[in-house]
Amino acid sequence: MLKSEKLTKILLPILCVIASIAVIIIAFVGIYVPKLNKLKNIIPDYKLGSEVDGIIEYRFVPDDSEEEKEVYVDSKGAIRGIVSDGSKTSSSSESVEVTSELEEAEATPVDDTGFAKETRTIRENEASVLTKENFEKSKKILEERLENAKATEYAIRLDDKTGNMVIELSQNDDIAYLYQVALSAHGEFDIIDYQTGVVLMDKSHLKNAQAVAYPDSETNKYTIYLQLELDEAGRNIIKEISKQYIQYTDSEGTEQTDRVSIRVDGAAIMTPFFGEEYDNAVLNIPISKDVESVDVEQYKESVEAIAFLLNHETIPIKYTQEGRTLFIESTLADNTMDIIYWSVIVILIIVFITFFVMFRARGLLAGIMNACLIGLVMLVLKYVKVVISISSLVALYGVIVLNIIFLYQYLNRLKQNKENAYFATMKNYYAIVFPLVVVSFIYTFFVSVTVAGLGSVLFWGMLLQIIYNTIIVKYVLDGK
Amino acid sequence: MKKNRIILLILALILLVGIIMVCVKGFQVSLNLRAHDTLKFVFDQKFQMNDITKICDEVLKDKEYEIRTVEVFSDAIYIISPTITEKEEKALLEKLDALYRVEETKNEDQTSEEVSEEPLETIETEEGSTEMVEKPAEETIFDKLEKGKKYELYHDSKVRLRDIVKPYIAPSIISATIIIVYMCIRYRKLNQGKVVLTVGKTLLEMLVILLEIMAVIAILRIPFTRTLIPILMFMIVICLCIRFASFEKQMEE
Repeated sequence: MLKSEKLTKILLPILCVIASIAVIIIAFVGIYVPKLNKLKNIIPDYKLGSEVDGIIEYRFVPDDSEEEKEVYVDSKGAIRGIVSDGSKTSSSSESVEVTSELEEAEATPVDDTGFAKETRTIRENEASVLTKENFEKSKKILEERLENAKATEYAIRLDDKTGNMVIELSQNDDIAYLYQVALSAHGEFDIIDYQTGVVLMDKSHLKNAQAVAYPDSETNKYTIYLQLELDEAGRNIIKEISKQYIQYTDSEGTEQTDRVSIRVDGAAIMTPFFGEEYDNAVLNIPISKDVESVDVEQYKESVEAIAFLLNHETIPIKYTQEGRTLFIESTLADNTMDIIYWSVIVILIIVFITFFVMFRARGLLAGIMNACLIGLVMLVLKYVKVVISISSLVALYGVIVLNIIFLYQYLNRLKQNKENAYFATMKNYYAIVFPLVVVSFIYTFFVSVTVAGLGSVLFWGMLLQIIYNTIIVKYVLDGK
Repeated sequence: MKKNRIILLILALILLVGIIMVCVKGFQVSLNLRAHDTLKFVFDQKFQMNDITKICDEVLKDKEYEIRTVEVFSDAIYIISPTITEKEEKALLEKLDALYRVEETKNEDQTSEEVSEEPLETIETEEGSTEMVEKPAEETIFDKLEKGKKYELYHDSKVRLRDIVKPYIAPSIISATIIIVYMCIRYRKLNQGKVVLTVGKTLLEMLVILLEIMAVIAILRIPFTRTLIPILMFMIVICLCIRFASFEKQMEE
């Protein structure tokens, strides 16, 4: 053997051990650099889940407000719309180009419906609506919305007698977005006669909604549309609407405009009239015009939020937020993470001593390598920003146990001078821990933090275990 | 053989006691997950958790309670207990309000003593005669503190256990399916090639282990928390790994 090869064979394992010790120090102590006359650890902190850190709490109660309103009532006494303060446009002699797109202009009121008018007390929630079934349904819809909006952690406490809800979210999520799309809105959609307030079409005819952006070939700027896909009945309604809600010249020669109001949760998103007969199941409602290409995604997001709401059921109960949004700290003690840190260190020291007693020099090295692997896992969890929940901590202890089992088997085989000790151990070990490999892999792909937290830590732990043990541990302990 | 019988008997006994315990008392669900009363109190300043704990010990006595810090500036608290009666609410509010307002509290105490000693006062009427009139009612802590701003009592409902378990169901079913398929392929030669027997026996064992653990949790009144599910899951998977280890040994033999 050449002298240089011999030197490499001695030096390389030593370097590996030194590097491993460095990793242990970085993982458990950190790297401190002076910053503003203070030493600051440049290793990022863990991203803590709501069980460890705290929750964002919203309290919602059924809205009990009521208001006297003038309404349209049909022959059966059913309310057909709220009398609108809307209007019919009286534009002067200016002509409006007939297009297939929706037009928009100023308006003034006129009233000409076939319904009787009555003044009724309109409650946000009628007593007949406040039922246990509707409370449950509201909770289910909120859960669906939160899940589809990718809320990683949430809990809903429902009082099925009063309908009061406490909704707990994680501050790691985009709280503002979740509030906008899932919590704050009722999700109602309708098209009404702008002049009278009579409802012409409701959400039942809506099949799908999405945000789309189309460029203007002349200006190269974009228009963001809320694209509504309607069912056959909805298509026919729109066809009739497009014939009726148009711009025309009355007998006195004044240009008049009949328009509709497209509303989400009672707020008009557009008050258009039609330029020509519209016979299409897809209705594009322009929301933002002249948008620069760089801003398209940003504008689209806000329209997507509306589409998201329309694609979910309307909450049967109208809720109002009680009090402010609060951050509630976890019940875990402030020093919980310190306790976990120190318990990991103690376990690693015990393993180190046990391995040393059982396997002498190799055991000593294995103890260092084991601590290094756990340190590496902890560093990776910090850098890939895995949300640490209680289940992740359970998984971290699991990774420690698994690596101890692996090293124990490997050291035993080495002690017995068995051929191909490392790969024999690998084969046997992975045949045994196959259920854990499956769980770690499958769980990682789920949104829920408690599930993904468990999966992610196991996944990273086992991945690093394969790489680190194959490249470093095998070389240091076996010299191959 | 005799040893096995004893073990089986013990396991059956644990399961039986566990079932009885669940039927009679149910699981000991953690306070945070079950229905509870929450008293929110805003200090508008930093506070010492020890002070709050002392007050809660005094007022709620043996009742179970939790204190949680509220708000970004940690200047408010939630006191959570299975029930907070009006008497307890009043006592808590009085003590919490007095905690960081020593001087004001002294003056208020003096006033209240005077009032309690002499509920009626004598006034001289215009005609020169005297008359007993009722003194204004004593200001209670509920009048003094602004409800909604300074304090609030909420009756919070439980978090349903099925809502906590729900996120684990889909990934567990997928994982279980893959593991069963793996078992069918790798351990097909065990039990004289009766795959159904190998898989069925293993699943039954895991079910028994799960039930035994649940029974122990019920008997020992270990609080059912969100943490318990991943721990249970992990224990079952580890047991499955141990079973796989024995299968591997059988395969080698």
